Amino acid sequence: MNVTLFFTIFYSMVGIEALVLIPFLLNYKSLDFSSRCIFFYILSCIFFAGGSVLVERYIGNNMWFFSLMHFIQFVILSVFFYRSIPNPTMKNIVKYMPFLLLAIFIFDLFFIEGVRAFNSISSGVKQLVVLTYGLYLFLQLLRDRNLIEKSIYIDSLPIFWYNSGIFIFACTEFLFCISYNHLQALFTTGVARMGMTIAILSINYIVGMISMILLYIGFSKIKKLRHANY
Amino acid sequence: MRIIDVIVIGTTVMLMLGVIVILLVMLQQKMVIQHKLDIRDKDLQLQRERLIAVLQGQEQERKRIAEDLHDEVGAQLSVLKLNLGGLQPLLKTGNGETERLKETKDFTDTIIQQLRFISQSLHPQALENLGLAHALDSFCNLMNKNKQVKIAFKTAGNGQTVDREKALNVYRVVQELINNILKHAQATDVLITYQTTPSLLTVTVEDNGNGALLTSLSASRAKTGSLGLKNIESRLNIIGGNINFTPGTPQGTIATISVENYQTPAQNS
Repeated sequence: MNVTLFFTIFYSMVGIEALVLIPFLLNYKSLDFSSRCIFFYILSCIFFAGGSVLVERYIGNNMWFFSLMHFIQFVILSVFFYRSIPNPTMKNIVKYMPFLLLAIFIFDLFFIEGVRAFNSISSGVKQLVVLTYGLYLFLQLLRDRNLIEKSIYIDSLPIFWYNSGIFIFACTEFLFCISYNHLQALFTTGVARMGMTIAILSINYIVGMISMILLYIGFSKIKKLRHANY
Repeated sequence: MRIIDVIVIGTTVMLMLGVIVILLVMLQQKMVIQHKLDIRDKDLQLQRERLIAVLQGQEQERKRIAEDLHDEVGAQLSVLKLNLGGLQPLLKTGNGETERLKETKDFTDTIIQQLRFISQSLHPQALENLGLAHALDSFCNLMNKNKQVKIAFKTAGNGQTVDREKALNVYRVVQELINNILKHAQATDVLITYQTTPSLLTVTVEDNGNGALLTSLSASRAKTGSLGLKNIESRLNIIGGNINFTPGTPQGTIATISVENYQTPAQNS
């Protein structure tokens, strides 16, 4: 795969993230707590995307930066899920999970895979936990008696679209995360081709764009709810 | 198969699975809500059918009582009046018997009049024989005989006949409105206007009262046990009509009843 095309996809994704961030930023004061979490999530995406380029240019290896990105994004998403999931037991799990993940991240970064390699274990665990949260929230929304009683369709809720964006990105990233460390090893030994690695990354970035569009749909649903005097 | 191929295929499969999960969640919730709405619709339909059955039963009972009153009690009272008339030549004069008999005859007349009024109110015969406009006109005449309020009737129709069930319900609604005006509005004049176009029947009941009808209506809307307004709304709901209350100028209240497609299905087509 052409490297220029890869960078075009990467910068397009960052561009879309920036575009999606604008309406959130303009309406920040009127956003509810979940939407504010999503705002910070998008902000972190832009920050870490730009940051990774800068770190790579001025420091060289930027793999440790990805670990940091994964952990901070996990904290932001945990806050989002903590506020969105009503079940008290699950709430407690969501509340304490970042501490466990922090331990795994530190252990992986300093003792297992190292700062110069992609931390597949910690990022894989992170994606798996986010996937579980996403599925749980879907089930919770599906069972919500209040929504059914009031005949509120799930796709009219911002939270559904936010969760869809997060879930679909976690689905795509999961396999990439758990295997990228291995791919790096193969790449350095010359077994793997650069083209395929770039192809996998490109798929992730494209899904990243789709996920941003889903988050924007969620934002547009807040506007509709506000117009409907909810 | 190389590991990269596995990752590419796996990622695509995961992406597709993610999309499927989202779509399934959306569809499942929509189906559940749709099912719930269907059940609610069926419930409403059942309630509507029950209401229709209750009202029909009520009308049948009213008809039976009206016919009994008119045909039996009315006939007996007429015989009594005739008998009283027959007694007149037999009475001795000078002791006030003639005057007392005349008083009794007048009293019998009043009872017959009131009986007719009750019978008419219970079941308007004119509605079946002459149609809604004539029945309303006859109702106004009947009310004018008995009450202090002057009720005028104005028609601007083109003579299209109203479906029997719809006519009966509109008649009952007008009756209920007049009752409300007599009870609450302190009006001296009431005007009932009857208008028809090929697709719309409009009956306006206008009074020059204190406008208290509007406030009493909004208060009874909030109350759960208010039968008058509930009856009006239920009857109009059954025939697909609606009622609108507006303040009159300079005073009073204007109630506008409108019913679309009021003609019998055969006439509509």
